[in-house]
Amino acid sequence: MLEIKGLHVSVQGSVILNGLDLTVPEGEVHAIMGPNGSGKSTLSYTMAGREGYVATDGQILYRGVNLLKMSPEDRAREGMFMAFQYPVEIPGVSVLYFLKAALNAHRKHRGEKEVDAIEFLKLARSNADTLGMDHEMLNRQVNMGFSGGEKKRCEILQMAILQPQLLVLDETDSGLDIDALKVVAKGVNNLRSENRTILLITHYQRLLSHVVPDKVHVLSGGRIVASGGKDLALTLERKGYAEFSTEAA
Amino acid sequence: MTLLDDYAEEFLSVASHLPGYERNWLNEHRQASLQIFLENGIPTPQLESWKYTNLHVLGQRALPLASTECLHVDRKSLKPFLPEGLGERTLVFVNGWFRCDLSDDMDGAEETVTSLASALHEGQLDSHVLLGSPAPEPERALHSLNSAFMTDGAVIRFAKGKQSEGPYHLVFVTAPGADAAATHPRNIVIAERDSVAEIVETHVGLDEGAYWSNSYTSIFLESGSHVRHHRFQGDSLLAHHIGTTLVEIGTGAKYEGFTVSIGGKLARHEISAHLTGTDAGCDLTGIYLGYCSQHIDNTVQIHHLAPHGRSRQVYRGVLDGEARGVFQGKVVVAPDAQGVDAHQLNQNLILSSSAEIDTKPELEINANDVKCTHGATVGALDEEALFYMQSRGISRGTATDMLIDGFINELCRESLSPVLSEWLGSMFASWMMKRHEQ
Ligand SMILES: Nc1ncnc2c1ncn2[C@@H]1O[C@H](COP(=O)(O)OP(=O)(O)OP(=O)(O)O)[C@@H](O)[C@H]1O
Ligand SMILES: [Mg+2]
Repeated sequence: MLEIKGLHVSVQGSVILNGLDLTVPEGEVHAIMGPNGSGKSTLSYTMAGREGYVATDGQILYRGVNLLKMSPEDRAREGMFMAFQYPVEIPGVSVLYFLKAALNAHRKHRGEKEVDAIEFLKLARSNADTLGMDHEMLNRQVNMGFSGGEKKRCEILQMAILQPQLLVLDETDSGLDIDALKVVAKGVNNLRSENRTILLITHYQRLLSHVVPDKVHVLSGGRIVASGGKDLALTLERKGYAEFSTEAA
Repeated sequence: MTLLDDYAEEFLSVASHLPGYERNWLNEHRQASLQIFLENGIPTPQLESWKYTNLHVLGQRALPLASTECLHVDRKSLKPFLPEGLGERTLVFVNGWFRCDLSDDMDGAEETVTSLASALHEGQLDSHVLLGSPAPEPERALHSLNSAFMTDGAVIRFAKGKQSEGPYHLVFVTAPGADAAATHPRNIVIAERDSVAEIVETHVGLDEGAYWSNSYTSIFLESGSHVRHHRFQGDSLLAHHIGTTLVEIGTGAKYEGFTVSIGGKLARHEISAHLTGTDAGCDLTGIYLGYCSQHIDNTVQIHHLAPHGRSRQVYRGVLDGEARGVFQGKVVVAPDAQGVDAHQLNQNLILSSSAEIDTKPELEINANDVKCTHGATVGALDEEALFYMQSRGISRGTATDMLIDGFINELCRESLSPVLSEWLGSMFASWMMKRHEQ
């Protein structure tokens, strides 16, 4: 279970999250929607442990442990994965090498030995196949010169290989064509299971028709201002955020 | 007694032991070179091309010629410097002298291979053509010192139209005794018309000795030839290394130079390339890694003397601790060298707030139809990339190494064979380890 309690976050001195409360039980998928600049990415960066995102108050408890006290790499090793809204380019490092280093870091943390090179290549290739990615892509430098959609697929590939328990997908559906959206949705649905907790940040109902959420929350003005079932997304699509913004104010 | 008197005296005491002593012209050559050195002395920062590299330590006392007696070197101790799979064409020089017992047998080789000492002794190099006439410029005073004291090195002639079967590996090992000493190795490589040649030149120290290596390699590319020259400098962290590569590139010939500088308390590698024929190409790649208080200088001078030449310089440096890097890249295009295409790029990764780089491009273009570009970047590790990697479970330390590795290995993969690339990769890895221990 993920429990976020009274989370206040400042970025460069300005308060962005402002008493955010959110609970996601194990096995559920929750969607977070909200206007631009409302703090959705701030929440995902804070969860992943990015420097400069200062939690001035509150807690992020995952399975009872406060993530805020852990280094970014330890959060990842404990099962957290954040798919970036804007995946970062890593010059000189191939996708394959990057994935292997990440997987081995996870394995080491679990006390397992390093993955066998051949086994790993098979694993990476079969996951690339599932996501409709060319094997050639695995030899390219991470995200360098990737199209927007390719970057998002690459995020899902990492997720598929690392098999995280707590997933935060920050607008992974943005910028995808219809086929890619289905591929990404399939990638998420494959991971959907009783012991996983998934947070989908999105602007669009269309992802949610492929990955049907258990709950939908509205984030506005740095806090959750409304929560509901999957129909809330439809309402938002029709009416916009206007009424929630006033509520927040 | 002054430093220069000491050098004059040292010369008198060793002259009769230097190879080719029985040849008058050579003695005159050595003495004329010494004279020029004595007139100029050790270069000082007042000279433009020495502005950022101060040799005052070398100016404090004259270093005697390193002793030839060095018994504790065996093939096993050289193992880290002899990449596996490179072939059996290794020539080993210890303290500036050829060591037959540590080298591969060259009898069956297509190329003409001799040691400089025996070439001088047997009168095979019977003119100034290959040794060059003594250079009067004060900037080149150390070349003159090398010409006065040169002991040994390789002389390789790649035969016309032939393709060399694998690289020659010239390994210069310095294993000084208790006292600091100098070595003055000299190599001469001739690639005859349309030949294809490859050489690896390695400079390393066996002990952490405070020696001075003053090496000089001349490479002559006749028309249509292609030379690949990989130079690895991993000298002792107490040593001074001054290396010069002089290249002459004829019509339609191509020189590819790959230079790596990791070692030395103070190290400078200077490449001076003259593109004398039309359609000549000069492609230089450089990597330098510095930590602690190392000073690493790469100085390049490219002289486009003929039309339609192409030159490219891509140098990447990583500086940590209090290390200081210097990159000086000069391109000179002669008045009638039209249609020249010259590019220069120097990129630096600075890992600590006390590390520094001085990067200086210099273009002297005297023709009008010329394409020249230059660029330099100096930056820290990308924090966003580090965080991205950490967010996947990779520790910050490993992520840092991966970014550095990516920065430098990209150049290796582009320019080197897998054998050399892997060998250098292991050198870089051990550099990375040492960096962490600091
Ligand atoms: N480094 C920063 N410096 C200053 N302000 C920042 C910084 N990062 C984020 N902010 C501000 O915080 C607010 C929330 O940004 P955030 O990226 O979390 O929004 P979002 O909900 O993800 O928006 P979008 O839907 O556009 O992705 C914005 O007003 C943004 O300008
Ligand atoms: Mg966002």
